[in-house]
Amino acid sequence: MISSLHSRSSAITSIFKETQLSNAAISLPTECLTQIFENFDVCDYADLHAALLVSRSWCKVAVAYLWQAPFALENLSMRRQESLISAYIKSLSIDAKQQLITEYDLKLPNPLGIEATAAFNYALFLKDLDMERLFKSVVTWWEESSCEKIGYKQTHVKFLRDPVNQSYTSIINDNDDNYSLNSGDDENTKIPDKDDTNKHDLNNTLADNTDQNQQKSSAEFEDKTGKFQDNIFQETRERERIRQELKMRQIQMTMMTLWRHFYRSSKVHTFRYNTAHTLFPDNMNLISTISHIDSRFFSRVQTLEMGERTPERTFELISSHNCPVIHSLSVKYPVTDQAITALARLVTMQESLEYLCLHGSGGGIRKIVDALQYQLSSLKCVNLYKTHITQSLLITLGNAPNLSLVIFDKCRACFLPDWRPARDITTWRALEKLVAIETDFPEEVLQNIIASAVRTLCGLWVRKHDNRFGGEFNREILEYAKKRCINELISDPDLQPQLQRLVFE
Amino acid sequence: MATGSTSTNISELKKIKLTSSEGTEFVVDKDVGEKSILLKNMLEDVGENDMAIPLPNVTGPILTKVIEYCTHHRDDFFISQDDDNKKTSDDIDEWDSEFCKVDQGTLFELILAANYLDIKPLLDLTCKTVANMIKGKSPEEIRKTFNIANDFTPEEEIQVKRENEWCEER
Repeated sequence: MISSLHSRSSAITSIFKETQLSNAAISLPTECLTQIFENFDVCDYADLHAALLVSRSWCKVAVAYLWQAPFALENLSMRRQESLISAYIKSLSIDAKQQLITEYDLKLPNPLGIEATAAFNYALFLKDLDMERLFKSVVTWWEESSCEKIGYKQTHVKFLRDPVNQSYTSIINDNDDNYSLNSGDDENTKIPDKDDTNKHDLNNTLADNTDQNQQKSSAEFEDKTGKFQDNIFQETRERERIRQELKMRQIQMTMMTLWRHFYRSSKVHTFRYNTAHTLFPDNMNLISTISHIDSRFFSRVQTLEMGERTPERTFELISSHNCPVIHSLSVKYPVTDQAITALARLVTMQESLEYLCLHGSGGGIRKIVDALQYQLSSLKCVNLYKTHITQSLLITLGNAPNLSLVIFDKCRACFLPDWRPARDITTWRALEKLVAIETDFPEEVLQNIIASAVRTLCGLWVRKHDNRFGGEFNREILEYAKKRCINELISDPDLQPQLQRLVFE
Repeated sequence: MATGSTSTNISELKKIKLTSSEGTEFVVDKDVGEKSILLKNMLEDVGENDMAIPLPNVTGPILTKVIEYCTHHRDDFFISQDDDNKKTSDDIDEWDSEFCKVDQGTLFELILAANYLDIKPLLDLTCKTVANMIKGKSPEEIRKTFNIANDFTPEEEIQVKRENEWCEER
């Protein structure tokens, strides 16, 4: 508590430092206000925002809660994303701002300039960092506030007006027919009108009365015009490409600056990397920018979320940092076999890992589960998202000794037409274990898997779905079910009719 | 087993004396008083003693409320709430809810007393109540509700508003 209060007060950068606290009738001390704001969740930001504006003492406590997870909020409007990044940019050090301006040629809007100081160093409060959303917000900020706002068509027009474009002037001057390029507004900026020229040519050809000349002249014109248009669009595309590259570079550098700002100063415990590795060139792996001195960043991370196609190197880099407290890991498939191996190595180091969230297809997830099999024994919760449930996956999970919760979120069970769980006693036993723990099967999985098997083993499920009671059962399984569940079923008076039908018929 | 039970009964019968800030003396059952970690530690430190424990930071009326709360919850097992468990502000039981129906000044004084006496469940309850009262209110409404003066300078207020614009739906 003391350390967190200390760091909170050190986050105050400017005007709040010197003045006295509130003169309210009864003012609550910081520790009591902290207790009050602990009752607000990330999604209660509107209430925290109101509390922030109540008084100076409330502001100093509420700000830490308000800014702990702004990237966890979904569907922030473009205006709000721009405003969020502006505040972070404003709280950067003078050196960091100077680097953005001079090295990366970024135009910082006036309110965020070198001299501007934020009321708080907002990065210090961040606990939940989502790199993809950070990137998206930086792009929005770049487009909305800091640099030129030019669409493709406007770029084209501006380009045509630009006297610097000597290549186009030379194209025009070299042309014997003295076609001229009218500079001016949008309507005037156009390629010479073919119809007008045709009229001129038509008069000549009428005089000469030769259709061949007319065709030749027209073909030559079309050829020149075509080349002219091709050149213009080629050059325009090139300019646009360069501009896009510059924009991307500036966005990446801004993102990199903010990333350094966050990992050096924050208390991030949830790090959502997702597919951030795809947003940067190979030589700019964000994780690799964490220096040895700052490797404590990963020592604080408790929840790590990695996206699909996460490269092997990223897992290795994370492994190279000391990260002893990860208790929640989320991985998306596909990843390469080498990356799975690196991931397994990372996970093996995490004695604290209790929660594993896997996204992806059955085969890939199976590979990950195999790679992590030794670690499964310590897991308490597994969350499978959009995963093809395979029989072997269920058996593996069913046999994990400490598992107390399995969530099947939007999982698919396409294999089911050919799957006969009732014929496989091993699967039954694993399923029985799974049913004994808390699970969250989606409806289609319930329909397909549980309908034929689990209901006989789980009195709880039968109570919920007794109207769909029935089905064919393998004798061995039925005996097994009777042996395992008879006491539970008999003890529930509501189940007597079903019990009669299922067990004794 | 029998010995443990007897010692518990003796402990329950024991009384302790507390003195509020005005000097009013309160006699409470020891097990009730020990709901306060501050008092529990003090009693352990000083041992058997008939002297009244002075509580200069707690007024008589507030001490009465605190004793009422501790007496009602005397049989509860107070579990210290783990910081990792997210608190919810909507799980206040009926008696506690009625207990907190007091004026704003009393509520804040109860928070201060719970904090001083180190009675975590009472602190949680009163803070939850304040949090619930904040919900849905504007800054001005919160100030009015809790009698708080706006001590921002105009420049500070503008700056804080501007830098936190991302919270505002428009």
